[in-house]
Amino acid sequence: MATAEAIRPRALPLGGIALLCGAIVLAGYNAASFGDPATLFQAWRQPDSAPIGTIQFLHAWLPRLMMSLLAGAGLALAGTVMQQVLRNPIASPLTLGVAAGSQLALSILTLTAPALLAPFGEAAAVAGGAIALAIVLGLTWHRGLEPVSVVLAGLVVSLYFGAVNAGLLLFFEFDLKALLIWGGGALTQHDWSGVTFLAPRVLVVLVFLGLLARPLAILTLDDHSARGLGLSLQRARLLALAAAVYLAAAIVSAVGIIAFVGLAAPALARQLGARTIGQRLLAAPAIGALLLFVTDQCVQQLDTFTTGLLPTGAVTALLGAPLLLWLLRQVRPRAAPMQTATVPHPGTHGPGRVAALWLVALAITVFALVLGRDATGWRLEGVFTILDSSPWRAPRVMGAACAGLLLALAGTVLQRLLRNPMASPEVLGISGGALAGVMILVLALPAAGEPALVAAGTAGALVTTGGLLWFSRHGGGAPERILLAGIAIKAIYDGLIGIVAASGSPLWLRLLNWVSGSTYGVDWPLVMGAAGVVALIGPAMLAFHRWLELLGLGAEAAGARGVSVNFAHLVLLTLAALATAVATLLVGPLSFVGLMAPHMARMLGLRRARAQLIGAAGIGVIVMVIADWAGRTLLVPQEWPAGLAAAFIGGLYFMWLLRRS
Amino acid sequence: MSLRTTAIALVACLLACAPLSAARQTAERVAVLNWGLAQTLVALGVEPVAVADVDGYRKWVSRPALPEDAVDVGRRIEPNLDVLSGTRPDLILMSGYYNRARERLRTIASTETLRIYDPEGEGDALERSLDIAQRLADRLDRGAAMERLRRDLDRAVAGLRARTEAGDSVYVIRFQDDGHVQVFGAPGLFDAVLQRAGLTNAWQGGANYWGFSMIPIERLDQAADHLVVVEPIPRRAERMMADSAIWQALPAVRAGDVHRLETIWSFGGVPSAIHFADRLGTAIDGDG
Repeated sequence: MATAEAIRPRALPLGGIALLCGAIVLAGYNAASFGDPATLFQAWRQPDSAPIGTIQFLHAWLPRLMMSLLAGAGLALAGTVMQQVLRNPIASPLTLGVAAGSQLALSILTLTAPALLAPFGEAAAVAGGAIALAIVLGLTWHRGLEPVSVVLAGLVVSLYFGAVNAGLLLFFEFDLKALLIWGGGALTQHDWSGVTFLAPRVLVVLVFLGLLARPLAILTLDDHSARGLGLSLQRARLLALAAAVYLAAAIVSAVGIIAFVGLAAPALARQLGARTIGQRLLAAPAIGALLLFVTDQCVQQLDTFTTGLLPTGAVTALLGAPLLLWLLRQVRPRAAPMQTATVPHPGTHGPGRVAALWLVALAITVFALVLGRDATGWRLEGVFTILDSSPWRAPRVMGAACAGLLLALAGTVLQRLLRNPMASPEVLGISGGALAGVMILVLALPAAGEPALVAAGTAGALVTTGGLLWFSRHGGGAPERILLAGIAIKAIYDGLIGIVAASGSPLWLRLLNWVSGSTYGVDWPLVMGAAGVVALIGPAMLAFHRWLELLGLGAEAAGARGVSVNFAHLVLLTLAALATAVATLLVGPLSFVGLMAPHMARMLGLRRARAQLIGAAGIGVIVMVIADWAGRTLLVPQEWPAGLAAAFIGGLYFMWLLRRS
Repeated sequence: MSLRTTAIALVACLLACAPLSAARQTAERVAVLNWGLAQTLVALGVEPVAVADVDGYRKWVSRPALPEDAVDVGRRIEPNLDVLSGTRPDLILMSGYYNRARERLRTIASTETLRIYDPEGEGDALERSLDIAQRLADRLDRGAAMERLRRDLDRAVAGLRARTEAGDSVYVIRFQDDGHVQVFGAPGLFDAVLQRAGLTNAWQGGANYWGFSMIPIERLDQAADHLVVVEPIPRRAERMMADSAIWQALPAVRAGDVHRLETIWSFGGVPSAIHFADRLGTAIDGDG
């Protein structure tokens, strides 16, 4: 974890002090707006007669200030511990899925037993966070908790939990609306209860971790040496991790999701020269508190200009993304262990199975076209009469099929490029970029029509793809760097969603529908465009199957066999990105088909690149068409978006994957 | 297939019977995908055959009551087209905001887009609601019902005016969570009712085109004669109202004039305005 980049030693501390001074001035300015400070003491003693301005200062502004300091410190503390225990410079409550798990647990509790929120909210959040982390660790255990895999798994888990949350919001919008503001990370307080909740917890965990400082320091040695020192590694690790999860969950239950502080503060502490764990346990919380304090003061100024709320957590996401990219340029993940399937068996019944797969895909597509349901019950119609009686159905089915195909292709390419079975198109962040484009358009022009939205989505996807390619242009040797760009983009996108959600406007529901991936708006022009892209990308990827085979052996091996690694990397990534962008416009960002389909193809014995590509494409079609059909017909008249339905199937697949490993 | 033939047969019968029913009002089958339009239709005496999210309407709008046999076509944002076409509507009404499928709706029946809440609209929500109600009355031949609706509105507003002091300032809010509220302002429906009744809206901080602004409770800091809370009130907000120093320091709360209103749909049309005016008058008058 040595810092590779040379930062001028004085620049950061000086910058930090300047920032602190600026923040204090801003805070003073904010505070002054509340009126005469002389009345403070009187107002505290006798609130009944004090002017409203002074009461606001004492019971809203001050608690908010304290909360920003506490939450910032707590998140930084949790992040430091997670990074230390997992030996992973990009671990944090957000990237490990802990925050998403807590949020989902609270949503479920709010829906099922709102009366229990007050006593059991914190416990539910902790349970949710712990479960999420357990899933992440379980998925990557057999790879030795390798940092990139862990963060990939964390991303996938938080995306997945986010998808479930989106599904709940879609159907229970009124019951869950209270969670929208909180979810965006609004720090507004109206009494001191939040501070009295969080302060003791932060202090207790800080003391606890201080006691664990020596065992934690030893964790930087490899397992062998540490065991030699007579320490029960596992126990110390688990204790520290449990404390970190507890603190992160407590913060989430108090103020919602605040992005990046838990990631940036420990990284900044390292940059500033804090080396030992003891130093970092002190420096990181201080920096975290400062970061969140500054952001919150700025947000308070901005808030007066907007008719909606500006939740601080969402703003930290928007600000944090470029910071993240800057800080983590130097991340050099450990060399990934070889995938088990890098030396493929020669094709096992390849052509036969692929053909069978595609026959099934065709049959299912026809089935989805002809079997429908309306108020009177199930109806079976002929393939051609469908175009007359339910003309809206065919483009949706074909759109779902194209999307499934494209996502499966993109997923296969990515898993081979990154040599990691957890890689999937969602992780790239392109889908997030497409949706960010849509969101920006809807925020600026609420009356925009459908074609404008599609154009905005395409523009967003293209911009993101361009950025991704630029960021990883030298990535042939370390393809995992794409991950960081993906995390940053996802964070920006989450921030935008948080802002729209907190504004409370009904606009939110419209965006939520886009996010959930409904094929409702898919019409023939869109399907034709998608089919055109399939016709372009499919054969192109097949033509490069040799590259895919060789890149799976590692950069050096591929280079030795005559593959121009950087160029191949760039071309394949471009194809995958385009496929993802188009698929997102059809079924949204969250279907996980791109994760499942390559796995399933491999399990069917299709291990050579070409066979895996075609097989995965067939599986992608099957999964997506079934998901779309199920969403349209099983809950009539409600409709479940195709993307969410596919994510649900993907979730079941995950559990199975976990048990297997 | 058979359903189609049956439908054609029915239409043929209706056409055959038409001369006999020339004196009757048009019995158009109307499907409506927006709650504000749905309540306007029912108030005009039209029974919609299909409504989006019937359960939601019954819970959040409730008045006037939908016909028992109204078919639920699914969520407002994505009505199920198979179910909708199965109800054989002659006219589909939508607000143009939620729905991505305008073109597809046109293949089922003639579709009209009527926006009460329009980012580019002129006038306030009540004016647009009246305008839209008039258009619907003209289209569906319900002139008499429209006159009754206007008179009801005038009566409700006059009643509100009579029960309150002219120029009284009022905050109208709904809790989002325990620390944030939607405060209603111009150009929304509630604000329009307040203005017509001679009351002042204590919130002058602007609002979106739906007529509300989302604020933390401490920004309700202007002096006001009445603070009106529209239900539902979350449990935590109830506790907050009892315990919070901020809440109790709000000028309106200190003056003691906090009223509660039952659930009233804040994004509706003329019937919601009437509902609001009636209930507000009762609340202010009844509580002193």
